[in-house]
Amino acid sequence: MESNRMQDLLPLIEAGDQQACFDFLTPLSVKHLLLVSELKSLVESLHRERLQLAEVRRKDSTLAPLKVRFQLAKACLFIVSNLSQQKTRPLWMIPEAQMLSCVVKQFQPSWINEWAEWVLDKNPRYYAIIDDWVQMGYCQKPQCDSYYLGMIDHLGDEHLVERLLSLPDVLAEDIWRIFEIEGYGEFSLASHDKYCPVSARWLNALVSLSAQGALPRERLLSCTLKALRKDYSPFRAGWYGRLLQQLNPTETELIRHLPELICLANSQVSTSVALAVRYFLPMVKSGHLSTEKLVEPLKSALNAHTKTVFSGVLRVLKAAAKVSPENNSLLLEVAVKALSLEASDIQTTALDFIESYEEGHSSEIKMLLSSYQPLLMPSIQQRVSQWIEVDSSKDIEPTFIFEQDLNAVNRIKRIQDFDELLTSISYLFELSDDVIELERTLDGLGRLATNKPEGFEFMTAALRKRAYRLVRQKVADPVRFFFALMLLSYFDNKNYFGSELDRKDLYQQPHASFIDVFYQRLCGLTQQLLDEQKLPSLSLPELPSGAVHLDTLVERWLSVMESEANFLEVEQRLAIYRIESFEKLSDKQIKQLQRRGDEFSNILLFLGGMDVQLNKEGPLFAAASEQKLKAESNDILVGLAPSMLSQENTEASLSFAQLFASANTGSYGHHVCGLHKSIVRWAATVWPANMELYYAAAAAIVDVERTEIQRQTPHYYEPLFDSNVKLGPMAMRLLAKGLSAADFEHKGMAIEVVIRALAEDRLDVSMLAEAMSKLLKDIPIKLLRWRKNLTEIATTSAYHAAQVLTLLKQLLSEQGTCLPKGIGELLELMYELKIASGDFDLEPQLETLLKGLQRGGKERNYSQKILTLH
Amino acid sequence: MVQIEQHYQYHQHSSLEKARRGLCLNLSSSAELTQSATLFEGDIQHSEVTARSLRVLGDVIESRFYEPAALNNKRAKHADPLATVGHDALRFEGFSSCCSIYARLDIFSQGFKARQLSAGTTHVEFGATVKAALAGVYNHSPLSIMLNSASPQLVTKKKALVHKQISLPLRWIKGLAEVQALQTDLQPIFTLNRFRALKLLRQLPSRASKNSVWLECLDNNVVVHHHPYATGIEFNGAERLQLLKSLIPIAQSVSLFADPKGQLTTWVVDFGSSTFTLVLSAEPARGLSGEGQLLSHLANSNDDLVEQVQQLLNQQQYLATDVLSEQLSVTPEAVKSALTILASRGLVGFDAYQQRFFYRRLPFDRNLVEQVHPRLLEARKLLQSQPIKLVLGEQEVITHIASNDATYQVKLRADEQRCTCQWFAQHQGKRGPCKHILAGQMALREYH
Repeated sequence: MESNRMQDLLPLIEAGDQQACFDFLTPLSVKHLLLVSELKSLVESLHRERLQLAEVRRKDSTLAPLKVRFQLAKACLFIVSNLSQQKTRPLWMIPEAQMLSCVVKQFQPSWINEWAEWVLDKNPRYYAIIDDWVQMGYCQKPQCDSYYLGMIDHLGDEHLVERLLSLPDVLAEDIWRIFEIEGYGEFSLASHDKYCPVSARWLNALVSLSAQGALPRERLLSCTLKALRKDYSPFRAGWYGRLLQQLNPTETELIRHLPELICLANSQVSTSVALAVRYFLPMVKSGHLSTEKLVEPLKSALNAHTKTVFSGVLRVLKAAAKVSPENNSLLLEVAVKALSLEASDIQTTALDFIESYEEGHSSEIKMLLSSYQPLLMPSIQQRVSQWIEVDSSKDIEPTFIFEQDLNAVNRIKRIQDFDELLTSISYLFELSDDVIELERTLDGLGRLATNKPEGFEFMTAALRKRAYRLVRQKVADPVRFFFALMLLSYFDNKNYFGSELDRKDLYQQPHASFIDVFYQRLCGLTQQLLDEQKLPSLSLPELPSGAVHLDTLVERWLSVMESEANFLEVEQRLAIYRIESFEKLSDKQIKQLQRRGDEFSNILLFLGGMDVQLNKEGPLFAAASEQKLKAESNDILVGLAPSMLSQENTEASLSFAQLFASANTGSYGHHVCGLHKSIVRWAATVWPANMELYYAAAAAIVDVERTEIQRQTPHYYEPLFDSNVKLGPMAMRLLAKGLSAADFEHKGMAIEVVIRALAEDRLDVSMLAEAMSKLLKDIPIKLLRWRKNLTEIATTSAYHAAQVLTLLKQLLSEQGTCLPKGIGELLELMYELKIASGDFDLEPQLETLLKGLQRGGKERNYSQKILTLH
Repeated sequence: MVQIEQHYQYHQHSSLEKARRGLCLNLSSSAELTQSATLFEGDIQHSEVTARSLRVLGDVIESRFYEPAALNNKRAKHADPLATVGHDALRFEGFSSCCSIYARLDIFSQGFKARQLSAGTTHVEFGATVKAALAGVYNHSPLSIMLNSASPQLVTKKKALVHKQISLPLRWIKGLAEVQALQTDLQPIFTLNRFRALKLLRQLPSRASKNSVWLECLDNNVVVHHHPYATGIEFNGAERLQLLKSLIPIAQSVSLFADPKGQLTTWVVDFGSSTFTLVLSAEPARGLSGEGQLLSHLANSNDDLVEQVQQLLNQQQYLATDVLSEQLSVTPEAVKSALTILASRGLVGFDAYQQRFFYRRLPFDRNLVEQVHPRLLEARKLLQSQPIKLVLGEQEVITHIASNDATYQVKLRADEQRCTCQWFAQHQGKRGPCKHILAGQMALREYH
């Protein structure tokens, strides 16, 4: 009986008697379905027990016997299972190495060869066990790639060379397989060598073995080239490239491997192409590579599109032209193709080559040159114009149709009925970053949710289910989570804020942030819903920027009966901050507000320019006075905590952090607006009349060198697209950082804002130059990025180009005599823009600066060129 | 859900061999899918273009632009491309591992000179060795292609037969059928010469980026916007376009086609006698196989017309809607709709560049294709499991559909459909109707 078998086996496992267990299982036939299932349950329960014990009593002595039982149970399960069953299980169900070897030795499963390949495929680190079995004859040597990937990992320690020398089979056969396998993740030659000491690197070991004569050099070279031709990922191909370089092939070897090198020039990995081109040079010089054979590979190499490849190709061209001048027409075609890289120095060298060998200005070359026009730099275009007629049609100014004044056309409408409210809720459950829709829905809930229509439960059942699931899932977005918690409370008529379901702790920042403000607001609104208070949202934005007009706010306030106007304090403060314009109140409004005489009515009168007595200690007064004073209030706050101020964490961001913080003594970190898209967008609607504070907070968190972690922060740039937004110093600081960022999205957003703001005439380039200059002094900036990004802005239109030129002039003037490293990049752009615009004038200060430049290279080259233009 | 397991195997590896007249690309095809041993044998006019295009196709198949957590650090097993031999064109097609990219190389009749040709579709073995070998093909080296299920001259007594068994992923089967039909609504956006196209490629991200860019064509120059732009084409996962970087420098032109909803972009690289088409889904995380814009077509198809059009398929290589509409005396729109359904069944392909359908019979059981749409199956189950009550209004039909212990409200209007379920809230109809809307549509059709 199956069950009896388990009853008999269990005491043996409990006793940890391995031999008895094995003896018990030896005579059994393969079909033990019940036994398999019971053993599997036992292994799972022992695993759980072990984890619990390990967590609670890490050093307890009860762990050791449990470990023995656990291993034995796993071994029994392994013995009674067939291959299909083994393959469905996680790897932790496999016994440890020693036990596993005992099992295999005694039972010798017929499927062990297949299992070995399967387990290696799951984790190549099983190589050590499998290789032992192969040596002992328990299984055949696997032929799968994972076996060799495991070998790379297992043998690659500090004694790699010695170990390889002691394994003649590996040296004779296995080692060549590693050239045929690309690998993945941490299992590849490139990954292994990156994270191990020098003495454990395969690259060094192979070079050393080759030098010792233990590995045939010819085969090593041949395999390396074969691997390079397979176009592995650039990271992994790089390893083989480095190996080839370390092997340093002789001219004779290069000649022997010429066909492979020619193929390599067509590789899709630019580093491999660069390597091939590098090896062409000595062969061309020695006459072993003819121009006829060279032309096609060189043309293909230029598809790699990196400066290294292009400069390498141009060097080869020069050498080839010297060796066989009779074939220059073929080389000229390659030189023209080298104009496709938009880099001044490369294009200059290419054109120099063309001009020196193409005296006759043949029609073919002219035609080719004219087709490359869109890619030519202005200075090259000027030179080329002597040969061909430059197409002036490209100078047509593009017309940009930016969304002019979004606020004027997109006034926000209120939700009309319960049906629309449900649609909005459903939408926000999935897309909570639409913060204006969120505000509409909060307003709709306040006005409409208390009148539950007939069939309410039926209509909302699906939404309730979704809200519950979002809360249980603990979604990453705080806005989405709190909104779902609010709705769940509403559907169940039970306040879940503060309950077990409320996981505020997951979203809390270590400092005061807008997440706290948002939480407070939704918590209060939920209670109002449950108390069946019918209140509209005071702070509902009228415009996409989040702004509300003062008279609208007054109307909203007055539309609610005095006795029922039980608005949350956080709601009242938010409404005050969202006021964008302070129109004069009508006499009727003034009278009505005076009649009410409560604190909020007095605040509204104060904001409307009336002289009223206010409670000067309350938070509403603080909000109102900040709104009224704006710039002056920042100075007050600077005085409060000057020690906290750093370059970006200026008074502005400090003030923004204090906006809704419960006390002025709270700690303020950089991420006052949170990190998630939705809360960042919501924070942008808080104080639309004073966005500088928001940009200051944004500038503080942008790290120009990071590319992955700050994925959400590009949303900070969004308000800058609004044509009503004026760009102050903090917005400029944010843009300067964006233009310096390594991250594509940051730089893309910054470029786009600058292009649009220039087109809309709301960006002062001198302010941007000032911000960039200040940034250059604060943090190390890669000026190549500025050159590339400013070039992209300049190519938009002639107007943009002129503005960029002005910016560069001011930026360079502000540097004084100590120019930062890499300024040659900006000088190059300046030179090209001067050529393009014909503006050759130079301010005296800049002229002196350029004349006094000491460093060589690009810096001197372009400063001389600019001075020559002048 | 119905699972389709499609296996195919080869008897030898593909190879690039030196032949009498240059190089011969011997592509091993799946034996069980072809009736004749040699589907194609002929010379290719532009060796380098073809070799490079095939390598890019191989790159597409190996590429993965979205990695679900479950796949983290695991190697994907790649399927092999499909080859179709027709009298007018030789085609190779395949999907990326993430299924967000579909690529097809069309070599038209002027680009090859066939010595032997037998129409059909099959898988071809295309491994790293062939790809590496193709790197050595330059313009001056003549190239011929042979599509073979067994090549006797290469199988010697000493060499054992190679058996490489591959299982065709289900999403390839779904995607191959779906992507043809999805392209039928595409509109031409712009065509650039190779220099402008190169410039555009350099402005686009080369690394994964979550946010979209918007492409605006002004005077033959494309401006890349990083913020929503009214007249721009939204383009997400732009790093996927870098796959074309080695093709653009040798192209004559590059054209972009996009659908009005911004759910699909198709890039066509034109080499004159051949084209390379790259179809990109709305974002890398969305596989082309999971799109459902065609479900309404499938749920409400005119079966009679579809059958009539199907009967005409064998007679012509290219299928012109106007000619078919004349033959069948129906409107071109009705023919297009029928061809779209046939495309989704794997019976025709669509060439976005030439805006025409072509006959291509996918090598698997086409009757199952319709059954692998889970939403359609679920909708049919919903329809069978409950009486669906329709409330007919002047402008809309409202119905409530119970599913998984909740009831969803479905509103059907002439111009739009809405549902209160999560799927609809997430995608707002951009990825096709949800199962509740489909059930409502089917109920309405039954009512009429």
